[in-house]
Amino acid sequence: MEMISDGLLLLGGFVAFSGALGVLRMPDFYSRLHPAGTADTLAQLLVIGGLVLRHLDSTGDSLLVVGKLIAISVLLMVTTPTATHAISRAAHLSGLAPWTRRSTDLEEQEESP
Amino acid sequence: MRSFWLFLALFGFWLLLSGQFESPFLIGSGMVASAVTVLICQRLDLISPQFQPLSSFLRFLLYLPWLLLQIVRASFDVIILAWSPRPNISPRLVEVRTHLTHPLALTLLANSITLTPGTVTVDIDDKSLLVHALGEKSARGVLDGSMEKRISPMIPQRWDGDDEREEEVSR
Amino acid sequence: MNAELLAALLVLGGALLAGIRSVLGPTFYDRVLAVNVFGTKAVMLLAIIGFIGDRSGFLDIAILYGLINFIATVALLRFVESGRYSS
Repeated sequence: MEMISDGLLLLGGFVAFSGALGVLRMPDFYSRLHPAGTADTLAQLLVIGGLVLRHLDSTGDSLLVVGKLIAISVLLMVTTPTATHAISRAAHLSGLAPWTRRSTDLEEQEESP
Repeated sequence: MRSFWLFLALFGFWLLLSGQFESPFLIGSGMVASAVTVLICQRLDLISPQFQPLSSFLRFLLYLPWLLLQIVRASFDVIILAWSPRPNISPRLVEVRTHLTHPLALTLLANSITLTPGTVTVDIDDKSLLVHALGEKSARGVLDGSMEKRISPMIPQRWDGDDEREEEVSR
Repeated sequence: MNAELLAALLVLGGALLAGIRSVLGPTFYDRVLAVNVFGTKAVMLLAIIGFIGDRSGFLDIAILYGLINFIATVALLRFVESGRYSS
Protein backbone atom coordinates (compact mmCIF):
# COMPACT_ATOMS: atom_id res chain seq x y z
CA MET A 1 0.00 0.00 0.00
CA GLU A 2 2.77 2.36 1.00
CA MET A 3 4.76 1.50 -2.11
CA ILE A 4 1.78 1.98 -4.43
CA SER A 5 0.94 5.39 -3.05
CA ASP A 6 4.62 6.39 -3.23
CA GLY A 7 4.69 5.38 -6.88
CA LEU A 8 1.43 7.19 -7.68
CA LEU A 9 2.63 10.40 -6.01
CA LEU A 10 6.02 10.38 -7.72
CA LEU A 11 4.53 9.52 -11.11
CA GLY A 12 1.95 12.28 -10.69
CA GLY A 13 4.63 14.81 -9.83
CA PHE A 14 6.66 13.75 -12.85
CA VAL A 15 3.64 14.00 -15.18
CA ALA A 16 2.79 17.45 -13.80
CA PHE A 17 6.37 18.62 -14.33
CA SER A 18 6.49 17.25 -17.88
CA GLY A 19 3.17 18.87 -18.72
CA ALA A 20 4.48 22.25 -17.64
CA LEU A 21 7.69 21.59 -19.57
CA GLY A 22 5.57 20.90 -22.64
CA VAL A 23 3.66 24.13 -22.12
CA LEU A 24 6.99 25.94 -21.97
CA ARG A 25 8.60 24.25 -24.96
CA MET A 26 5.90 23.85 -27.62
CA PRO A 27 6.22 26.15 -30.62
CA ASP A 28 2.83 27.83 -30.73
CA PHE A 29 -0.33 28.44 -28.79
CA TYR A 30 -2.46 25.62 -30.19
CA SER A 31 0.15 22.95 -29.52
CA ARG A 32 0.56 24.26 -25.99
CA LEU A 33 -3.07 23.33 -25.42
CA HIS A 34 -2.24 19.62 -25.63
CA PRO A 35 0.02 19.30 -22.57
CA ALA A 36 -2.16 21.71 -20.62
CA GLY A 37 -5.33 19.74 -21.26
CA THR A 38 -4.20 16.15 -20.96
CA ALA A 39 -1.11 15.97 -18.76
CA ASP A 40 -2.67 17.98 -15.96
CA THR A 41 -5.75 15.77 -15.90
CA LEU A 42 -3.66 12.63 -15.52
CA ALA A 43 -1.34 14.30 -13.02
CA GLN A 44 -4.14 15.31 -10.70
CA LEU A 45 -5.71 11.84 -10.96
CA LEU A 46 -2.39 10.24 -9.96
CA VAL A 47 -1.50 12.67 -7.18
CA ILE A 48 -4.93 12.64 -5.59
CA GLY A 49 -5.15 8.86 -5.98
CA GLY A 50 -1.88 8.55 -4.09
CA LEU A 51 -3.08 10.89 -1.37
CA VAL A 52 -6.34 8.93 -1.03
CA LEU A 53 -4.35 5.73 -0.50
CA ARG A 54 -2.19 7.49 2.10
CA HIS A 55 -5.21 8.75 3.98
CA LEU A 56 -6.89 5.35 3.89
CA ASP A 57 -3.74 3.90 5.41
CA SER A 58 -3.63 6.24 8.36
CA THR A 59 -6.31 5.89 10.99
CA GLY A 60 -8.49 8.73 12.23
CA ASP A 61 -11.42 10.66 10.80
CA SER A 62 -10.09 10.24 7.28
CA LEU A 63 -13.39 9.44 5.52
CA LEU A 64 -14.36 13.10 5.22
CA VAL A 65 -10.88 13.95 3.96
CA VAL A 66 -11.13 11.23 1.31
CA GLY A 67 -14.50 12.64 0.25
CA LYS A 68 -13.00 16.09 -0.13
CA LEU A 69 -10.11 14.71 -2.17
CA ILE A 70 -12.51 12.93 -4.51
CA ALA A 71 -14.52 16.14 -4.83
CA ILE A 72 -11.33 18.00 -5.84
CA SER A 73 -10.51 15.32 -8.38
CA VAL A 74 -13.96 15.35 -10.00
CA LEU A 75 -13.97 19.16 -10.04
CA LEU A 76 -10.57 19.35 -11.77
CA MET A 77 -11.50 16.60 -14.21
CA VAL A 78 -14.53 18.57 -15.37
CA THR A 79 -13.01 22.04 -15.34
CA THR A 80 -9.55 21.49 -16.84
CA PRO A 81 -10.64 20.40 -20.35
CA THR A 82 -13.48 22.92 -20.27
CA ALA A 83 -11.14 25.80 -19.43
CA THR A 84 -8.72 24.64 -22.12
CA HIS A 85 -11.54 24.58 -24.62
CA ALA A 86 -12.74 28.04 -23.55
CA ILE A 87 -9.27 29.52 -24.03
CA SER A 88 -8.76 27.86 -27.41
CA ARG A 89 -12.19 28.99 -28.62
CA ALA A 90 -11.51 32.59 -27.60
CA ALA A 91 -8.15 32.49 -29.37
CA HIS A 92 -9.71 31.00 -32.49
CA LEU A 93 -12.48 33.62 -32.55
CA SER A 94 -9.90 36.38 -32.22
CA GLY A 95 -8.25 35.05 -35.38
CA LEU A 96 -5.02 33.59 -34.05
CA ALA A 97 -3.58 31.38 -36.79
CA PRO A 98 -2.08 28.00 -35.92
CA TRP A 99 1.57 27.33 -36.57
CA THR A 100 2.35 24.79 -39.29
CA ARG A 101 5.60 23.45 -40.62
CA ARG A 102 7.38 26.31 -42.29
CA SER A 103 8.56 24.39 -45.32
CA THR A 104 5.44 23.23 -47.11
CA ASP A 105 7.35 20.60 -49.06
CA LEU A 106 7.53 18.54 -45.87
CA GLU A 107 3.77 18.13 -45.84
CA GLU A 108 3.71 17.28 -49.51
CA GLN A 109 6.30 14.61 -48.87
CA GLU A 110 4.09 13.14 -46.22
CA GLU A 111 1.07 12.98 -48.44
CA SER A 112 2.47 12.14 -51.87
CA PRO A 113 4.05 8.69 -51.37
CA MET B 1 -37.86 16.97 -9.45
CA ARG B 2 -34.81 18.65 -10.86
CA SER B 3 -34.91 21.20 -8.04
CA PHE B 4 -34.94 18.42 -5.50
CA TRP B 5 -31.77 16.88 -6.92
CA LEU B 6 -30.12 20.28 -7.05
CA PHE B 7 -31.05 20.80 -3.40
CA LEU B 8 -29.58 17.42 -2.48
CA ALA B 9 -26.35 18.13 -4.34
CA LEU B 10 -25.92 21.55 -2.74
CA PHE B 11 -26.66 20.22 0.71
CA GLY B 12 -24.22 17.35 0.22
CA PHE B 13 -21.55 19.84 -0.80
CA TRP B 14 -22.27 21.88 2.32
CA LEU B 15 -21.93 18.81 4.53
CA LEU B 16 -18.71 17.85 2.79
CA LEU B 17 -17.18 21.28 3.31
CA SER B 18 -18.32 21.84 6.87
CA GLY B 19 -17.72 18.34 8.17
CA GLN B 20 -20.03 18.99 11.12
CA PHE B 21 -22.81 16.50 11.60
CA GLU B 22 -23.75 17.20 15.24
CA SER B 23 -24.53 20.86 15.56
CA PRO B 24 -28.18 21.44 14.57
CA PHE B 25 -27.46 25.11 13.85
CA LEU B 26 -24.92 24.34 11.13
CA ILE B 27 -27.09 21.67 9.48
CA GLY B 28 -30.13 23.94 9.67
CA SER B 29 -28.31 26.89 8.15
CA GLY B 30 -27.01 24.60 5.42
CA MET B 31 -30.55 23.54 4.56
CA VAL B 32 -31.72 27.16 4.52
CA ALA B 33 -28.84 28.23 2.29
CA SER B 34 -29.44 25.37 -0.16
CA ALA B 35 -33.17 26.07 -0.25
CA VAL B 36 -32.60 29.78 -0.93
CA THR B 37 -30.18 28.93 -3.74
CA VAL B 38 -32.70 26.55 -5.33
CA LEU B 39 -35.41 29.22 -5.08
CA ILE B 40 -33.16 31.82 -6.73
CA CYS B 41 -32.30 29.35 -9.49
CA GLN B 42 -36.00 28.74 -10.09
CA ARG B 43 -36.70 32.46 -10.30
CA LEU B 44 -33.85 32.91 -12.76
CA ASP B 45 -35.08 29.96 -14.89
CA LEU B 46 -31.75 28.22 -14.56
CA ILE B 47 -33.26 24.79 -13.95
CA SER B 48 -33.81 23.10 -17.26
CA PRO B 49 -37.02 21.07 -17.63
CA GLN B 50 -35.34 18.02 -19.11
CA PHE B 51 -34.42 15.09 -16.93
CA GLN B 52 -31.58 12.69 -17.65
CA PRO B 53 -32.61 9.06 -17.30
CA LEU B 54 -30.64 6.98 -14.85
CA SER B 55 -29.54 4.57 -17.56
CA SER B 56 -27.42 7.22 -19.22
CA PHE B 57 -25.53 7.68 -15.97
CA LEU B 58 -24.90 3.94 -15.79
CA ARG B 59 -23.65 3.95 -19.37
CA PHE B 60 -21.39 6.83 -18.43
CA LEU B 61 -19.84 4.69 -15.71
CA LEU B 62 -19.10 2.07 -18.35
CA TYR B 63 -17.63 4.75 -20.61
CA LEU B 64 -15.30 6.01 -17.88
CA PRO B 65 -12.62 3.25 -17.98
CA TRP B 66 -12.17 3.70 -21.72
CA LEU B 67 -11.80 7.45 -21.18
CA LEU B 68 -9.20 6.85 -18.46
CA LEU B 69 -7.20 4.62 -20.80
CA GLN B 70 -7.31 7.35 -23.43
CA ILE B 71 -6.12 9.94 -20.90
CA VAL B 72 -3.15 7.78 -19.97
CA ARG B 73 -2.20 7.23 -23.62
CA ALA B 74 -2.60 10.95 -24.41
CA SER B 75 -0.42 12.02 -21.49
CA PHE B 76 2.21 9.47 -22.47
CA ASP B 77 2.33 10.96 -25.98
CA VAL B 78 2.53 14.49 -24.62
CA ILE B 79 5.29 13.63 -22.14
CA ILE B 80 7.39 12.05 -24.88
CA LEU B 81 6.89 15.17 -26.99
CA ALA B 82 7.79 17.44 -24.09
CA TRP B 83 11.08 15.69 -23.34
CA SER B 84 12.20 14.94 -26.90
CA PRO B 85 14.92 17.39 -27.95
CA ARG B 86 13.26 18.15 -31.28
CA PRO B 87 9.48 17.55 -31.16
CA ASN B 88 8.29 15.88 -34.33
CA ILE B 89 4.88 17.47 -34.86
CA SER B 90 2.99 18.85 -37.81
CA PRO B 91 -0.09 20.56 -36.40
CA ARG B 92 -3.23 21.07 -38.43
CA LEU B 93 -6.88 22.00 -38.03
CA VAL B 94 -9.52 19.46 -39.02
CA GLU B 95 -13.27 19.72 -39.20
CA VAL B 96 -15.25 16.82 -37.74
CA ARG B 97 -18.89 16.40 -38.66
CA THR B 98 -21.24 15.14 -35.98
CA HIS B 99 -24.87 14.11 -35.70
CA LEU B 100 -25.16 14.80 -32.01
CA THR B 101 -27.46 17.65 -31.08
CA HIS B 102 -27.94 17.34 -27.35
CA PRO B 103 -25.78 19.92 -25.54
CA LEU B 104 -24.67 17.43 -22.89
CA ALA B 105 -23.64 14.94 -25.57
CA LEU B 106 -21.75 17.65 -27.43
CA THR B 107 -19.99 18.73 -24.25
CA LEU B 108 -19.00 15.15 -23.54
CA LEU B 109 -17.78 14.63 -27.10
CA ALA B 110 -15.71 17.82 -27.06
CA ASN B 111 -14.15 17.03 -23.69
CA SER B 112 -13.40 13.46 -24.75
CA ILE B 113 -11.73 14.65 -27.95
CA THR B 114 -9.61 17.00 -25.87
CA LEU B 115 -8.56 14.11 -23.64
CA THR B 116 -7.68 11.64 -26.42
CA PRO B 117 -4.15 11.53 -27.83
CA GLY B 118 -3.00 14.41 -29.98
CA THR B 119 -6.26 16.27 -30.44
CA VAL B 120 -7.88 19.33 -28.88
CA THR B 121 -11.34 20.70 -29.64
CA VAL B 122 -11.15 24.34 -30.67
CA ASP B 123 -14.65 25.37 -31.70
CA ILE B 124 -18.16 23.94 -31.89
CA ASP B 125 -20.68 24.78 -34.58
CA ASP B 126 -24.15 23.36 -35.03
CA LYS B 127 -23.05 20.52 -37.23
CA SER B 128 -19.32 20.16 -36.78
CA LEU B 129 -16.39 20.51 -34.43
CA LEU B 130 -13.11 22.20 -35.22
CA VAL B 131 -10.27 20.04 -33.94
CA HIS B 132 -6.59 20.86 -33.68
CA ALA B 133 -4.48 17.76 -34.21
CA LEU B 134 -0.77 17.34 -33.58
CA GLY B 135 -0.16 15.00 -36.50
CA GLU B 136 -1.75 13.20 -39.38
CA LYS B 137 -2.32 9.96 -37.51
CA SER B 138 -4.28 11.52 -34.66
CA ALA B 139 -6.29 13.58 -37.16
CA ARG B 140 -7.40 10.37 -38.89
CA GLY B 141 -8.28 8.81 -35.54
CA VAL B 142 -10.80 11.57 -34.86
CA LEU B 143 -12.27 11.69 -38.35
CA ASP B 144 -13.54 8.11 -38.41
CA GLY B 145 -16.22 8.97 -35.85
CA SER B 146 -15.69 6.04 -33.49
CA MET B 147 -16.06 8.25 -30.46
CA GLU B 148 -19.44 9.50 -31.60
CA LYS B 149 -20.65 5.91 -31.76
CA ARG B 150 -19.64 5.42 -28.15
CA ILE B 151 -21.42 8.53 -26.95
CA SER B 152 -24.61 8.48 -28.98
CA PRO B 153 -26.34 5.53 -27.24
CA MET B 154 -25.57 7.13 -23.90
CA ILE B 155 -27.81 10.15 -24.21
CA PRO B 156 -31.24 10.24 -25.90
CA GLN B 157 -31.23 12.68 -28.78
CA ARG B 158 -34.45 14.52 -28.09
CA TRP B 159 -33.73 18.08 -27.23
CA ASP B 160 -36.10 21.03 -27.37
CA GLY B 161 -34.61 23.54 -24.96
CA ASP B 162 -32.27 26.43 -25.39
CA ASP B 163 -30.44 26.19 -22.10
CA GLU B 164 -26.87 25.03 -22.51
CA ARG B 165 -24.84 26.07 -19.55
CA GLU B 166 -26.91 24.63 -16.75
CA GLU B 167 -26.89 21.17 -18.28
CA GLU B 168 -23.40 20.51 -17.08
CA VAL B 169 -23.71 22.06 -13.66
CA SER B 170 -26.88 20.45 -12.43
CA ARG B 171 -26.26 17.05 -13.89
CA MET C 1 13.38 12.16 1.61
CA ASN C 2 9.87 10.82 1.41
CA ALA C 3 7.71 10.56 -1.65
CA GLU C 4 5.15 13.26 -0.97
CA LEU C 5 7.83 15.88 -0.41
CA LEU C 6 9.49 14.93 -3.70
CA ALA C 7 6.13 15.03 -5.49
CA ALA C 8 5.45 18.46 -4.01
CA LEU C 9 8.83 19.69 -5.25
CA LEU C 10 8.14 18.32 -8.75
CA VAL C 11 4.73 19.99 -8.86
CA LEU C 12 6.31 23.21 -7.62
CA GLY C 13 8.90 23.02 -10.41
CA GLY C 14 6.10 22.54 -12.92
CA ALA C 15 4.31 25.57 -11.53
CA LEU C 16 7.55 27.53 -11.93
CA LEU C 17 7.83 26.51 -15.60
CA ALA C 18 4.22 27.55 -16.20
CA GLY C 19 5.02 30.86 -14.52
CA ILE C 20 7.94 31.40 -16.90
CA ARG C 21 5.63 30.77 -19.85
CA SER C 22 3.10 33.24 -18.46
CA VAL C 23 5.81 35.91 -18.34
CA LEU C 24 7.26 35.04 -21.77
CA GLY C 25 4.03 34.23 -23.60
CA PRO C 26 3.89 36.08 -26.88
CA THR C 27 0.10 36.38 -27.01
CA PHE C 28 -2.48 37.15 -24.40
CA TYR C 29 -3.98 33.66 -24.69
CA ASP C 30 -0.65 32.01 -23.92
CA ARG C 31 -0.60 33.89 -20.66
CA VAL C 32 -4.15 32.91 -19.75
CA LEU C 33 -3.37 29.26 -20.51
CA ALA C 34 -0.19 29.36 -18.44
CA VAL C 35 -1.99 30.96 -15.51
CA ASN C 36 -4.67 28.28 -15.74
CA VAL C 37 -2.02 25.53 -15.66
CA PHE C 38 -0.39 27.30 -12.72
CA GLY C 39 -3.72 27.25 -10.87
CA THR C 40 -4.17 23.51 -11.46
CA LYS C 41 -0.68 22.88 -10.11
CA ALA C 42 -1.46 25.06 -7.12
CA VAL C 43 -4.53 22.94 -6.29
CA MET C 44 -2.40 19.78 -6.39
CA LEU C 45 0.28 21.43 -4.27
CA LEU C 46 -2.29 22.51 -1.69
CA ALA C 47 -3.61 18.96 -1.42
CA ILE C 48 -0.10 17.55 -0.92
CA ILE C 49 0.85 20.24 1.63
CA GLY C 50 -2.35 19.50 3.52
CA PHE C 51 -1.24 15.90 3.81
CA ILE C 52 2.34 16.72 4.83
CA GLY C 53 1.28 19.18 7.52
CA ASP C 54 -1.68 16.96 8.49
CA ARG C 55 -4.14 19.84 8.17
CA SER C 56 -7.36 18.97 6.38
CA GLY C 57 -8.27 22.65 6.21
CA PHE C 58 -5.96 22.96 3.22
CA LEU C 59 -8.35 20.79 1.23
CA ASP C 60 -11.16 23.33 1.57
CA ILE C 61 -8.79 25.98 0.28
CA ALA C 62 -7.88 23.67 -2.60
CA ILE C 63 -11.54 23.18 -3.60
CA LEU C 64 -12.17 26.91 -3.49
CA TYR C 65 -8.97 27.63 -5.41
CA GLY C 66 -10.02 25.22 -8.14
CA LEU C 67 -13.45 26.83 -8.48
CA ILE C 68 -12.03 30.36 -8.48
CA ASN C 69 -9.37 29.37 -11.00
CA PHE C 70 -11.98 28.12 -13.47
CA ILE C 71 -14.35 31.04 -12.98
CA ALA C 72 -11.52 33.57 -13.25
CA THR C 73 -10.36 32.07 -16.55
CA VAL C 74 -13.84 32.11 -18.07
CA ALA C 75 -14.55 35.62 -16.77
CA LEU C 76 -11.27 36.96 -18.15
CA LEU C 77 -12.01 35.45 -21.56
CA ARG C 78 -15.53 36.90 -21.57
CA PHE C 79 -14.05 40.27 -20.71
CA VAL C 80 -11.63 40.05 -23.63
CA GLU C 81 -14.27 38.77 -26.07
CA SER C 82 -16.49 41.74 -25.37
CA GLY C 83 -13.70 43.89 -26.77
CA ARG C 84 -13.19 46.32 -23.96
CA TYR C 85 -9.72 45.03 -23.24
CA SER C 86 -7.81 44.17 -26.37
CA SER C 87 -4.74 41.98 -26.20
